[in-house]
Amino acid sequence: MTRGNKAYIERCKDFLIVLLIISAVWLGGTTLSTGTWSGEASNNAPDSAGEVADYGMAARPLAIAVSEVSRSENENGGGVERHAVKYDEAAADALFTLLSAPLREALGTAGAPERVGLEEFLIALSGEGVYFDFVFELPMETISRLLGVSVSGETASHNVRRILLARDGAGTALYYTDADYGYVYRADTALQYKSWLTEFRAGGSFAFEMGEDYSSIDPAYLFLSELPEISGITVTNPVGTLDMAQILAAFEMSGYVASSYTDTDGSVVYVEGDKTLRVSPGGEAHFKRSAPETNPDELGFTDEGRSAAFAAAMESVGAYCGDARLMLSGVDYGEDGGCTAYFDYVLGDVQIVVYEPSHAAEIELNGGVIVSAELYFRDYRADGTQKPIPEILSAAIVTSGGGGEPRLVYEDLGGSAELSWVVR
Amino acid sequence: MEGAKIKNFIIIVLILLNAFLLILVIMDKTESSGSRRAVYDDLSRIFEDNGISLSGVREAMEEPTPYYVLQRDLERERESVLGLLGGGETQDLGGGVYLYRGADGEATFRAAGEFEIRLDAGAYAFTDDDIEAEALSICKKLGIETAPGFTEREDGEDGGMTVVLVCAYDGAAVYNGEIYFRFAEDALLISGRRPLDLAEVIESGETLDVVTLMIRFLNTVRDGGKICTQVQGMDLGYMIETTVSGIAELRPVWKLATDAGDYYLGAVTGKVEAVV
Repeated sequence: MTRGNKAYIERCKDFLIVLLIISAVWLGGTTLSTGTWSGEASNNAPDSAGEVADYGMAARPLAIAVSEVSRSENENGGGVERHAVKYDEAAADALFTLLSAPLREALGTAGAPERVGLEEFLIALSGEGVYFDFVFELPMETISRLLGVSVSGETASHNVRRILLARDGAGTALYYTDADYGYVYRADTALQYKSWLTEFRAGGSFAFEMGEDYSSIDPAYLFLSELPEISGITVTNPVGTLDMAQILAAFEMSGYVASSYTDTDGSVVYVEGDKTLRVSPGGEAHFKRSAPETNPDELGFTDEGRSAAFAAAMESVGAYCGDARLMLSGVDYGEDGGCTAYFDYVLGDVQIVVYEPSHAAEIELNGGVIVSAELYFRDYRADGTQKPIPEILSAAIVTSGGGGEPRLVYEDLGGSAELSWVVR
Repeated sequence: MEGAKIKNFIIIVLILLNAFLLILVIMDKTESSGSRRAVYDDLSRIFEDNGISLSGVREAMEEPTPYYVLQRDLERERESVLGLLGGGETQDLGGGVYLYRGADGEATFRAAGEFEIRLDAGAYAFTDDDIEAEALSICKKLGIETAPGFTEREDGEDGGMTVVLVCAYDGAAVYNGEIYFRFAEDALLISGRRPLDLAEVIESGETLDVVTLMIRFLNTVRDGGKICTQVQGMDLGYMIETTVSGIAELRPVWKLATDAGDYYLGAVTGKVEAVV
């Protein structure tokens, strides 16, 4: 064999070795991913980018009504059929998921608002439209951003409680009530009105439609034809079950880095740099850190601040509230450009009123950063059902007391919680 | 010489290693195939005990069920729509709604995929034989994939004709992604919903396996008192769903063909869903 042939054979061997190594690596990888050493085979595609946080449901309306012209002939010659949902979490979730798209489009395409009278609003309410009562008073800008759109100008500056998408010919007019002054505003939108519901079940009427006997009730208050089943409730203090690493992480602290000590009142205090988190045995927690230099681009309740506030609330009190859920219940703006977001507990779309402190979470932001938070950990469980006094009767009591609006709530009394009607 | 012997030894070792790993791979595939067959046999037995025969389900057990978050590519959308309209201008109406106006018509496209288009007479083919092909051609121009075998046509009494196509994504039908083409002498009106342009796979560990889905379906049939004696096939498709925050998702949905009609089972929920 010549030297040239030998060299050629050696090169072939080198190539074969490389091929066999690649083949062995591939076969080894296949074995690891599919079989003997991998455990169960997965039937799903490889995971990738992870999930997007969706807080839209934490600021959704607690009462929704859809009104359309009756499709059936009746002795009244047709009128408005209304489907109303209140105090029913599952039904409201499903209905708002369906109606969030037209609401989003209406808010996103709304023109400049003009102030109109209450009577025009009530006339629009009695016609075809979709009515949302957020119960809590929320900035229109926040509602819109949580739906994934922006509103600008005067509309963005209003705190609202009620929004109506009213049929206006083939299009849709946007009405909303300004919670601060009680004014009603109207704006044109680019939304084409259509029937979003195919089935009407639970009915309802607005107070102004129910005659003189209800004239002292808030005219836009929505009465249900029949109250749904309301849960009974039990309440406990979940402090003993808290995963402190998770709670600390919610405020960008680390369980490994933070030092801790127990105070004389039994509170455990965690300290990391300029951040302090104090958790008391009674379920109250306080977070504080030094305020950062104000970023002029992050004044108010911006996207970054809102994400931080929601994440912190949901990963702290929101993760230990049992069958209840956390809802955004208000935003106050400070004169220094900061703001405070409030969150409250709700069970089955019935607000849980706590008295001391007065919210589930109060989160103060400055420059898009959480600078302080007051938390109240509570664990609420649905327990059987309760039958409150009928809504009509509660309205009669409100009327005899001088008027207002009846509201069904759970009152957290410390060791227990009770269902009751209160006057707003 | 020593070097040559060492190489020979390495080659022999690598050949033996490859042979060993190849045997393992073949054994794994045979074993998992066997266990899937056993699971399928058990499932068939359970259905037969309830008076329902199964077919076309075995293949579904081996399909992955990815779940997508969709994003809009405005540039691509503008290019394709204005291309269809013969050029023109774009107007942002806010709320993710864009109005396109061109020489041959106008169109409105919405954030979550809904759209309406009006093409003027002369901008589309309108003969009895051509309308389905024309509808498919328009979808292609818009970059919309369509599902074969889902085309429907309806001829109106006024001489107008309607063609309905169903969108597809990556070869699978999007069951609530219907597109309506209403052909008339003076205009073609197109409306529907499409999956958005870009898709990203999200965490797919939440989808249920086919066996669990079928057991839940069986419970639904029994609890609902429905009469079903034969499952004839199972096809993976999608439904477009928009979350409250406006994020559009393509959720995997299994379409079950039975002698009592078609059922759509959510791959995440396991529940029978309506096509909305």
